[in-house]
Amino acid sequence: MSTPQTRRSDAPEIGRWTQTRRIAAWEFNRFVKWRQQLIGIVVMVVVGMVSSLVTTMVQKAKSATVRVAVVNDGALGFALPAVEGVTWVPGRYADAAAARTGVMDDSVAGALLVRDGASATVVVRKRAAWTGRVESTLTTARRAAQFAALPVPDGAKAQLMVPFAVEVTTVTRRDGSSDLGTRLVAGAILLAGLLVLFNGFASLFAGITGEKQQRITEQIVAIVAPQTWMDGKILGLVGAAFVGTALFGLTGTGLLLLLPRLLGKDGIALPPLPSDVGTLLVVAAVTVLGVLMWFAFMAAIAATIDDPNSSPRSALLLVPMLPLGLAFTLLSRPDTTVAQVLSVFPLTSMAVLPVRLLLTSVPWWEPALAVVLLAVSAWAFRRAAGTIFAVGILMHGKEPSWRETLRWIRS
Amino acid sequence: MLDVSRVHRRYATVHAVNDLSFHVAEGEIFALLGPNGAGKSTLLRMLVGITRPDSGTIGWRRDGGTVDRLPAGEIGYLPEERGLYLDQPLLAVLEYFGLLRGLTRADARAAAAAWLDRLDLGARRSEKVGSLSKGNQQKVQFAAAVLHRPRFVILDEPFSGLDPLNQELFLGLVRDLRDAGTTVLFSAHQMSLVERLADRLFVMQHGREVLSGTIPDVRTRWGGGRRVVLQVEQGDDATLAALRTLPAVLAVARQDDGAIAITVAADAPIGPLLAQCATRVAIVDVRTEQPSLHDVYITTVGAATVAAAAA
Repeated sequence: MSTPQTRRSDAPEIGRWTQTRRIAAWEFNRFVKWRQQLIGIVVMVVVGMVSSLVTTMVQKAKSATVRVAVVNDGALGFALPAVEGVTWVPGRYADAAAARTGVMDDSVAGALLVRDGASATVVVRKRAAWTGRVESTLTTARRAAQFAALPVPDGAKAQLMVPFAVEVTTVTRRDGSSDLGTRLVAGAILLAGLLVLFNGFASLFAGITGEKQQRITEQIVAIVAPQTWMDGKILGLVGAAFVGTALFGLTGTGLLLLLPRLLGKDGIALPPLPSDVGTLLVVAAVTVLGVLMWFAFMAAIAATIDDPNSSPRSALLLVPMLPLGLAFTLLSRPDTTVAQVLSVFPLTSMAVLPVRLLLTSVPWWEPALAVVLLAVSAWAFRRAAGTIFAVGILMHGKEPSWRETLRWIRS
Repeated sequence: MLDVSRVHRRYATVHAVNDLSFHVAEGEIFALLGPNGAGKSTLLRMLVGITRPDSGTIGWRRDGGTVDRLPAGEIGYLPEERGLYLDQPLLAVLEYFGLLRGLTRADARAAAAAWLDRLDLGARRSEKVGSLSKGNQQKVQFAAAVLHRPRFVILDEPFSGLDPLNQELFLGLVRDLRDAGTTVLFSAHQMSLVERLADRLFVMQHGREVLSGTIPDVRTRWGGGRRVVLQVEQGDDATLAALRTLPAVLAVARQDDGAIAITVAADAPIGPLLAQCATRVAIVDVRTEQPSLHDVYITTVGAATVAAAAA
């Protein structure tokens, strides 16, 4: 036997980008498990179909009717209205005490004890959905009776009952028309970005801390620069998270479009094509840059973790939730100064800027500034993360303190 | 091929590597020895470029010039910390390391398959690394370090954890590498294996050089002389005292089996000595022994430890 011969090492030196690409491909293949993805999609389809069927059956099924005794119904001043799922049993019990006894021994499901024309008590052994319907139906019946008794001509009464008609139209094009397609696609991009973020964090942590625990890191950093390794990992794991998100997004959309038709219902109408390409490009840019920035941030954190099962730093996975949560609180007030500041602040712009673009008027410089700041931050996080990575990945058995970590970045 | 000059590396208050200089020639097998904590792994990490020296230089001769780091495709490294992607197939893992070292996908796959066949793991190429025994995982890791046919390979404790059969296998693998033109630098604690494998050795302790040279040179300079072992019919204390007075005799001691071990200067002729011994004691059998590397190591490293403790 002899040593396998392949070549002498006189081939051109491998470039950094080639290494990055190969690492990215390796990480992508490690974490995109096609068989599991397929199983997940099948499960999603089955669950979607079963839940739709059950929902349809529930909607079609009528609730069982319950018998409810009525005491002193003459005090109402109007006829007992029909309530869905309830059969009134007036006159069975002479007073409230007898009716309560009837409820206790399950002779009736409940009792309506009328005090006067404006109030009553419902006695039940268990809270039930029909009690809410009783209250709303009695209120409506009382109003109708009082309205009918007013000395107003019938024509005037009919006029009084007509509500004020208001139609809300969002204008997003210069010609004054609405661009629903742009809003939907922008929302989908933002949602996809967030899903990629949270879908990929677990893989990122597993990828980096797992290599430390399996003692692979020393071999790799003997071959590639830590920054190259980190760049490849981020790209590969972002790609894996994107593919996972896209597969489930497409499956979910397919279910939404096809299931109603399969169940004999009206299908969901497809939205019009988007026309505001500029807005979509800005949303796509901040989403991509935001995802890359957060991945670099989380990779740096993971590089300092020795054992993910016991490290309190694993909780830092939740850090990106804070700015995103903040963005959601601004949904109702997107035109405030706070919202404007947060739409250009790099840690929040990924979530806040698209919201502002969709819900309010935004000056031209705001998206430009947000994209530039986010790009600079993503680059800075990547560089800092690479530095932390270079030192942290070879530390076994202990985690560096935050002070040490900051010293590494500065050095 | 490799010139290490006055390299120093310090961690906090510890001088892990302290003013070390040595040279490794192209095509040789160079052994790096020393007790645990001597600074070997720190030195090896600097050689592969994972860390940098605080001072001093590491120079690799390449294309007629000198570079401070070899390209990824020209160096191989088996670290002391063993680890592989346990959830991945053997062939894929080796192919990945080949790709990172600059091989094309086809070359990486061919080299990986050839190495797995060489290591009798060809039939298991699609199995996950985690399904292998520890010894087989170590074989795969060795292949990962050398499948790209580097000019220089660094093996940190390649024999640790291996049974005798696999130790023999690894000895053969390293020799084959050398025969194929690869320069090998390895660290080890198994002196008998080092003795059989290394062309030259370098012993360090507390980050400093203790001794270096070829195996015969080291034996001669630090072995304390040859030993002549006499199997005798009877040798009392008076006989031993008489033998000690003979010229060229450095020491005389009685062994557990009753034989008398006489240490003489390395270049002393044996014939006259035996003739003189024969006049004092009835010799049944005689043999000579070279000092083992183990003896040299214990003597020199032990002395260095005592000296360091005294300092």
